[in-house]
Amino acid sequence: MLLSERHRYGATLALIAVVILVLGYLLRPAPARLAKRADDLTVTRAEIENLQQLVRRNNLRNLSSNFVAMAEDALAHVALVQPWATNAVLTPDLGLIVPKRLDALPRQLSTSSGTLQQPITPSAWIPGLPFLIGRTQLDAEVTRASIATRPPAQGGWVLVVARNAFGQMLLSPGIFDGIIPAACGPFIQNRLLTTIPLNQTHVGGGLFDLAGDLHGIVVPCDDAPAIIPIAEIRRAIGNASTDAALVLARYGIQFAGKAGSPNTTIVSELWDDWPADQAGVQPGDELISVDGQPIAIPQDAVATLLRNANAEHDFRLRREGRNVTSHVDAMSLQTAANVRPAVYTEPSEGIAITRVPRGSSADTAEIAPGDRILSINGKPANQALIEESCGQFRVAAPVNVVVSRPGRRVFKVVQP
Amino acid sequence: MNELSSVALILLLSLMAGHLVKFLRIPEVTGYILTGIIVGPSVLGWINEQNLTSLSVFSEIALALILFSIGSIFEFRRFREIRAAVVRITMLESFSVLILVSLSALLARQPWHVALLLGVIAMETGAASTLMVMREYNASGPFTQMLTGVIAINNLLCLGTFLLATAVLQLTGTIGASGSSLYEIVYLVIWQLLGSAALGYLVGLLLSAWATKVVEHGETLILLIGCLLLCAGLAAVLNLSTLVVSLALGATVANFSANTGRLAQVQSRTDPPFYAVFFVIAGAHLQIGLLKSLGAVGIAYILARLIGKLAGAFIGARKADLPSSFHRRLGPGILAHAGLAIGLVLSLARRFPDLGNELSTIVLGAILVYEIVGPISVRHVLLQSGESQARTVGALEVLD
Repeated sequence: MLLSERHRYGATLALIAVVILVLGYLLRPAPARLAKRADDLTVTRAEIENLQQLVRRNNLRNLSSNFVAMAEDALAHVALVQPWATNAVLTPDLGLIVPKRLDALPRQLSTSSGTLQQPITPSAWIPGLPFLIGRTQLDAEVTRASIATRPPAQGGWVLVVARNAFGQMLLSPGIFDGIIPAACGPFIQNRLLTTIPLNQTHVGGGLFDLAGDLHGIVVPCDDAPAIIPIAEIRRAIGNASTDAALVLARYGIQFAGKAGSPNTTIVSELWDDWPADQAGVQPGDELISVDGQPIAIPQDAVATLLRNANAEHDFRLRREGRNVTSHVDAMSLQTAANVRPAVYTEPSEGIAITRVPRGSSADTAEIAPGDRILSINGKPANQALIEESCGQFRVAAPVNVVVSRPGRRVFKVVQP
Repeated sequence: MNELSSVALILLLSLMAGHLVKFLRIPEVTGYILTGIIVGPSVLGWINEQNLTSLSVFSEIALALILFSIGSIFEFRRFREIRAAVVRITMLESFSVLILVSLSALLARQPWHVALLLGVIAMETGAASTLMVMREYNASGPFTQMLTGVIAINNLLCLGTFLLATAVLQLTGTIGASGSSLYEIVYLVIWQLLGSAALGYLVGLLLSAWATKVVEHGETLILLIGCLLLCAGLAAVLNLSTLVVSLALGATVANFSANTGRLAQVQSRTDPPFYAVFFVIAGAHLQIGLLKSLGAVGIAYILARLIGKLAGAFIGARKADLPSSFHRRLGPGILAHAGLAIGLVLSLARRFPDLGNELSTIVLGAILVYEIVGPISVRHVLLQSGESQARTVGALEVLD
């Protein structure tokens, strides 16, 4: 039977459509990571779907041998830090990453990885980071760890691997949902999102994909445990290891240029009970000189302080038109570790901010919900004063505000 | 609230809103969207984020139905007559919006790649809400046909430009710092356009062939919904564009099926609950708080898009030698802004978190404004054009 012209036309198009779909499907770019590792690890889809059930029933013996091998490989990088029984992840380049959920900071901890007991020393402890970096003799053994260079495939399977209090493997599988821009302290800006319901037992554990690559670490954030990407940890340490961050770690003080007067440096942030705070320095003070050296820009102050580390420093300050002198002692990291709690409680003084409209003057000055306003233009804050001076979306004139955040006070200038 | 009660609440409230807006002489769609905003997380919170996620399957079906209807505009015999005018008008209005919005974003001190993406997203005209207003007022005639054609081509053009723009930005290393190779980027553009059209065409042939075998209303409905879900499901698995697939499905059925009329009739008798849920959910997703945080860029975006759409459509209609009554009416008819634009912003937010979140505040804030103003202005021009028909509500004949 002869086909009508319309049918022929339709059939030709259908053939082209099939060719396009088949070619498109065959030529699709492979998800690079998993494809590359497919030879090393052959976990079938059915096995993976079985996984959650088995893990939920803690029936690890029935898991595919490949999968168990991968999980055990991953577990070799997760250490249990005693005596706090918290997890920590051993990485080849950064060392041991220990979450800061401890009440006091460690000077020396023991890791129990298998039967090994190793002392560790904190090598980087930076305020504002939800973890600390430690060094241990175990570092040399971590050669198999492979750190992922790109995020796992969207919708792909991932696992949080941790140890329970007895050192046994704790596996939590789930699906990777992407990276979300949610801060965890001032230095960490992004988190990894998965379907894994995280709880305190996961803290310190690592997030691995099915190829055994490490993607992130579970750390306690302001609200609940969250997974921080390894790349973000590396970036945050880089940012936090600057001179200004070293000054913050030793003296608990940060400086900024005063808006409108280029050669005036002010105290922009003070950590509670840190040396600068104990010496009576106030947020918003203008810095005239340190150890007799006149200070123009914030970098002058940082350089002067770091030049004479561990010494007593004389700060000459201008506060509300009067000159004030303060003697500030440097604090060694070890001393700081002893006196400071690692987890800060919410401040209770001041007036709490619940909402800051995006784009408003207060938002531009980086005042955020959760901040508590302590003073406005030098006067103690109250509801009426806040509404009068910064209640408008855009303020009429610059307003000096001191806000309290967990463990610190910050000076902000709200500009029109 | 659990899923079933939230669906019940949505349906009953949307019905009530539909009655209420009659008195205010605004379209039902606007009523649904306002209901969604009120019961959604940003105001009363009766429907929370979790409900919204679990109701997304309703949205998928409704969106597929809407795009399927729009696709039928590409019926070759009818489209041939208006093709030249539609393409000319769409090009002019879309690219005027692109240029004006991008320039105004640049003036508001946005980086050039943000300005470009804002311009591309602003090109989109909300297909769903516009089509719903046409349906509500039983609009049919040359103006309605022209409007539907412009919206269909506009959505395709917007998606194509978006894919190209993101590809160029990725290739120049402006966005998405690491990862994608040249091959991956080029593949995505071609696959999303050609692959989607191919899938829609094949499922459309299946639907057309099968439709000759089924006669009952119920069976036809099962076939239609089944094919639409097949398209949406396969598109998700194969990483294709649901928009292009559903449009291609509608176009294929319009051209190859002898039963187009019956399918359309079955669809229009069945889909109101889906649409009600779809628009209430769409409203619930909009956050009223965004309006306050729009800022200078947001306002510039809204104004520049308004001017671009009105002026572009006016000039386009004049150049295409359309009747003078079309010149001023086409622009206000294509103001609605949602659907694809939301999808594009969400895909940006997923692929490039830093960039996407910055853009989504601006775009979603503007959408909130346009989804309220857009349907009202469509209703206005439809009534002016005289192409809306009388509609029976209960025992009363209502002539708005």
